[in-house]
Formats: sequence, structure tokens, C-alpha cells
Amino acid sequence: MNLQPKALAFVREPRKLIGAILLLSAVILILYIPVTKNRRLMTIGIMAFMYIALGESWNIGAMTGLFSIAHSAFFGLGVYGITITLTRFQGPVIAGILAGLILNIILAVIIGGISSKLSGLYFTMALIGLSATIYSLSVQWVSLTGGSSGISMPRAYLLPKRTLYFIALGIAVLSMIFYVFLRRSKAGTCFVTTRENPSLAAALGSNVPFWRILSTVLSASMAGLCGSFYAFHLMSNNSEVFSGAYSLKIMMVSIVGGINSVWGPVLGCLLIIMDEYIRGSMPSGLAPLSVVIYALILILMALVKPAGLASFFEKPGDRHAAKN
Amino acid sequence: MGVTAYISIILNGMLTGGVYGLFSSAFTFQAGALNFANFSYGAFIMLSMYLTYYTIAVWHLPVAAAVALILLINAAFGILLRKTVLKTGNFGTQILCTMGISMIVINGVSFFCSSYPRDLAILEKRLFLHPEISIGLIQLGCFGLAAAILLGFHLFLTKTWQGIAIRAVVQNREIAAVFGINTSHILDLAFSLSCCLIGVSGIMLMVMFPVTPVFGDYLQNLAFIVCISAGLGNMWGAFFSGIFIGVVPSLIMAILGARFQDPLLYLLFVLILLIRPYGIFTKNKNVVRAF
Repeated sequence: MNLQPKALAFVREPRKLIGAILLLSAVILILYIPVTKNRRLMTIGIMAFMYIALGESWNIGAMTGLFSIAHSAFFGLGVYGITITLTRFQGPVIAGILAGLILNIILAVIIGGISSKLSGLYFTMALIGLSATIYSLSVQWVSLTGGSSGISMPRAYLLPKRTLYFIALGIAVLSMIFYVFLRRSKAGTCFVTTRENPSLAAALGSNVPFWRILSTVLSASMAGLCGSFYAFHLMSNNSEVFSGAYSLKIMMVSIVGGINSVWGPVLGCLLIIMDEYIRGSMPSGLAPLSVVIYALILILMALVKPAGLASFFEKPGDRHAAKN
Repeated sequence: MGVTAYISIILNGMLTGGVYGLFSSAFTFQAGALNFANFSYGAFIMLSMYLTYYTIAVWHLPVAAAVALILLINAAFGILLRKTVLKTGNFGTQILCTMGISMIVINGVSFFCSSYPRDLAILEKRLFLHPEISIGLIQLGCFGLAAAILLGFHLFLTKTWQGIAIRAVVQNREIAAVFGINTSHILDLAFSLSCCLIGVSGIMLMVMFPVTPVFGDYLQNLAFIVCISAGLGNMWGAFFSGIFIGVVPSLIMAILGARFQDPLLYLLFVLILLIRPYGIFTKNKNVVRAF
């Protein structure tokens, strides 16, 4: 007989209790940082929130088994969509965000279409080919993208740090809510069945290619929105946003934290905080070493604990081990 | 440009393509035959190129010692990769870990050697077939060497006991084990041999191109294009399609200009994947979902 209210259930489980305490302290810290007006801490916070949202978007793609190793293509299209609209065509902000979204949806439909045709290594190579096409276009199409030196946003759009901080917080929280909502909806169930057993799902009447394309489109649109926000944060953008380092960071946030879990990216962004902190305190010549550190962490986590950090806060039988 | 200029471009592209074919056949052997998704592949070509530069131009080692050192380091890396990262059969873990390793190698090299391009600065002798058609002697030598190495590897795979054992393991691991072959040992051997092929092609590429830390990524993408157009797992196909891929970028550059070279090449790759994912030069359609 369980007479205690459900809300108090976590008291009896030490893992969930620890999780709740950590979450509470994180919330207090998040609300305290803007009070201090410390610009460096706020920058680290903005990056962490953005990577939470990017990690959730990666997770939505992973729901249908999309192993997106070129997620920075979506992200970079968002950045370039808004920057080019604002500088080259002097359009409004909304038009810029929409331009990024439309570019992302087109790319996502192409990738979703490929994913229903190819699988495994072939799909991975196709993704790399597509992202290399976009990257080399962004470097070579100098009249539109400014080449490898990139283009700067107009100064009029420079926002105060605190505003950016709260926008980033909003994006992160909204993306988490969206992930939970999607996972519990009918579409989320269809996504997961597509990943677990595509042949059975197709036999039971589920439209497998449609769900694959839908999840890719949702994932790409979220990453593109994050990119549009990042353009306001960085102000001067270059083609590095399409590079593999960003893809690796996004994957690291989701995989080290834990795939298929809403709290995974939140835990994974601890690594982003560490990375930003180390890079802020080191001379810039040591920046490649920071990549070495997080690549090592990624390899170790993938080999030793594939279920991710989030599995520490769950009972052993709560969830299947994350399937890569 | 006249016809002679185009003939010259095509001939030189074919000779460079021989080396592309050599390193792509190493990739196609790893991915298609051994079922290892090795995405740190370009980084190791780049590392071999840097090692060649340092052993020959900076430390002034004799060439034979330099080649032996590079082959040894590549084989050791191959065994290390096989023992740690590629031990699991899980495909996602393999991709993820080898991408991480490639990041480590690229950033380590750019930290220790800076991203300034390095070149052996060899003055190239040219062989004139016609007053306006000339081919590089070094490229001709590399082409011949690449073809000879591939032929040797082919003979090794078909004539020696180890080679036959490798082919047996590739075809069916369980049955090979039943016949008394130590499958994991044979896979180690095969993988480190393919890593030696990477080392050799790194040496040849260093003679022809300047190297930067991100050059490996470009080569890896080229290897993908070559392997896909040949059909994954088809080593001789990879050599011939490497020759084809060697010609295409230089023709694009000559006709349309250098800025279209990379986007068009990658677009061609995606198109090949979409239209004929089992390869242009092969009729076997079952290969696509085999991995």
C-alpha cells in the first residue's frame, strides 16, 4: 500500500533526492548569475543554455534513430540565414529567422529522404558530403557569405548581455518542455517505434519515411532557431559555425549526458561550462588542447558508460540503455 | 585553352588519382570488408604526411629509416585503435570514437606544429611527351608505386595463407573460427596492414602536396567519394575510380574556376549516393544495407 502522495516519492529514493537537490541549487545559481552582473559568467551561461537547446534538438533527431554527425550544418544555416538577411537585404529580424528556418527545413527534408533510402555507413557518408557541400559553399561564395572571414551583424542589433542571457534561458526551458511534450505525444511514440523496429512499425501501418522526415525537420528547425540566436550573441559570424568542432560539441552534450532523456543535455552542458571556463582562463594558443580534452571525455564516456550521465539518477531498470 | 592543355590536365589528374586510389582502397578495405567505420582515417593520413615532413626535412633521417618509422607508427596506431575503440561491434560507438580521435589528432598537430602549411619543396622534373603536354616525373613514379603496392596487396590476399585467412574471416567469421582461424588475431593483422597502406599513401601525398592540419578531412571526403563511386569493399574498383576522381576536380577547376571545385565535387558525391548507392562501376545492389 502506498499512502504517501506521489510528489513525495522521491524522498524514498536517494538517487532522485540527490537529483532534486542538484536541480534546486542549479536553479538558484541560474537566477543569481544575472544579479552579479559578471559578464564572463553570463557568457558561459548563455553558451550552456544554447547547448542544452541544441542537445534537445539532437535528441529529437535521435528519437527516430537519426545519428546526425553533421548537426552543425543546421545550426550554421540558422546563423547564416539571419545574418545574410539582416546585412545583405536589410530585412526585419523575423524575416531572417524565417529564412534560416526555411533553409533548414529544405535541408532536413533532403536528409530525411536520404535516411529512408540509405542506412548505416552510407547515410553517415551522405551527411558528411552534404555538410561539406554547405561548408565549402559558405567559404567560396564570397559575394554572399563573405568567404572565410565571414560577415558581421549590423551594430544596431547589439543586445545587452542580460537580455541575451534570459532569451537563452527561455530557449533552453522551452526546448526541454517541447522535448517532453513530443516524447509523450502520439508522434513521439511513432518516432521511437521507427527507431526500435522499422520493419514492424511499417507492418503495423506506421508511415516510417514520414516520421523520419518529420523528426529531422523538427530537429533541424530547433537547431536553426538556436543558430539564429547565436548570431545575435556572436555578432560576427564566419564559416567556422559549419565546422566539425560544433557538431562534436552538440553530440557530446547529448551523448555524454544521455541519449533519449530530457535531463541528458542538461547534465552534458556541464562539459560546455568546463570548456568555456578553461578556454576563458587559458591563453588562446592553447585552444586546440581544450578540443583534445573533450574529445577524450567523449571517447571514454562512449566506451565506458554509453547510457550517459543521466543514468546515474535513475534506478537500474528505469530505461533501456541508450542505443547509439 | 586548346586540346593539348586539356590532355595535359587529364593525364596529370590521372597520375594524382592513382595515389587517391591507393588510400581510398585502404578505406574501402576497412569499411567494406572488415566492417570498421574508421572516421579518423583522414587524420592519420595527415599525421603520416607530417611525420614524413619532420623525418626527412627537419630531422634528416635516411629515407628508408623514415619509411620504416612511419609504417611502424601507423601499424601500432592501427593495433591500438583495434584494441580500444573498434573492439565493440556497435556502429555508432565506432563512428563517435574515431571522430573523437580524429579531432584529437588534428588539434594535437595544430597545437604542436601550428597550422602553417608545410612542404617538402621538391623541384619537380617534368617529362615532355609533346611540346605542350607534360607530366610530372614524381607523379608518374607515385602512380607506378601505388599500382605496384596494390598489386602486391592483392597477391598477398590471394596467394598467402594469412591473406586467404583474412578473406575467410571477411566472408564468415563463425565458419572461419570453426576451421581453426584465430579471427580476432587475423582482424588485427588486416587492420594494421590497411593502416600501413595509409602510411605509404601519406608519404606519397607529402611529395606532391603541401600539408595543413585540416588537409586530412579533405582527403577523407575524397576517399568517401571514391569508395562510393566504386562500391564499398571493391579494392580494384576504388583504384580505378580514384583515377576518375583525380581527373574530375582538375577539369572542374580548368573549365569553371577554382571556387566551384569543392561544392561541385561534394554535390556529385551526394548525387551518386542518391542515384546509385551501390556504386557506378558495380552491378551488385545488395551492398547498400549490408553494413
